[in-house]
Amino acid sequence: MTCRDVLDRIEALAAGDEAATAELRAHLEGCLACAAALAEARRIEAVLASRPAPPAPARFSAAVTSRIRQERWRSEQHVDRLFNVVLLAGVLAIAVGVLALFNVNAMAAAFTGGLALLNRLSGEIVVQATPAFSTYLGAAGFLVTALFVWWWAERRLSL
Amino acid sequence: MADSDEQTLIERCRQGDDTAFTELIDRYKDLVYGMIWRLAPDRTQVDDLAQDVFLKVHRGLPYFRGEARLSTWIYRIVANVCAQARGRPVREVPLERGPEKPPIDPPSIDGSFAAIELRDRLEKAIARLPEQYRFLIAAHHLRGVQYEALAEALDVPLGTVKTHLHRAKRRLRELLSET
Repeated sequence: MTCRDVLDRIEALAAGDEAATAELRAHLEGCLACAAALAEARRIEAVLASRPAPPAPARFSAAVTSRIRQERWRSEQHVDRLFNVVLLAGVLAIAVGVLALFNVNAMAAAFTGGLALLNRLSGEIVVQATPAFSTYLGAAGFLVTALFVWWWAERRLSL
Repeated sequence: MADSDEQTLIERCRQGDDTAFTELIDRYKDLVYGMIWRLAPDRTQVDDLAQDVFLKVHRGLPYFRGEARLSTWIYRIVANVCAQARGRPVREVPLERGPEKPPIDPPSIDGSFAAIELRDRLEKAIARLPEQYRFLIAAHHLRGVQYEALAEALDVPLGTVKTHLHRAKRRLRELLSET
């Protein structure tokens, strides 16, 4: 058995993961360098085993639950804000509708004009886009797949 | 903790039971805190990082499929949080408080000064290890964490965990002999 063979097993011996064979013991008795390495590995093992790892402070659980409550409150605020925006948009739409009722003829003309314009434009778009429809479909498929992979990877990373 | 107990606790947490989540924190807080204490680049961040771990657990519980043990999943979160923290700037600490030092056990063996000095050199050597080795060394010998749990946490075979730990310790021995 060579010093190299022994040195490869020093940490396993020091950790008690491996038992010393008679051959290994004989080598250690005759080789000062290997014996010193084993002694050093055992000291390191002992210090690692006694490394400090203090317990969590007394108010730790309360601090975490308080942060969770804050987070929940913040997300509820977002929902509230969104609700207010939707409500405001609704009120504005109603106001515009009421104003439009006072000028029915102009609104009807504008609506008819807009409809005709939309009709003409959509016709042109459909005519131009039809030959490339399969390309658009393929591209949309790629985009959806890429977004899904991104979302999945983000979710895994964030955990 | 028995698997059925753990499942029940997870289920209660998923249903929004705050008491259950406090129970979960109480069960794992010392393990998480101890591991982060050993892994954190800056000791003043330990509290915040340990809290971040439980916030991530809280957010992630609805997606936790239960394929691994809860503790295993928590180890992974600890490793991720500490790895992210290495990218953050170190927080400045007022002079009157100073960074916290690990509690030093009272001298119990002869040559206690040598033991303290070795511990100090060892901490510096650990900081120079690669991320994965540092995690293994931090979790090893921590409140009964076994090789099997580490293997599960890192998703590697048991033999690989032992080999990596032996290599990490060998690297530590080499680093110590250099200083």
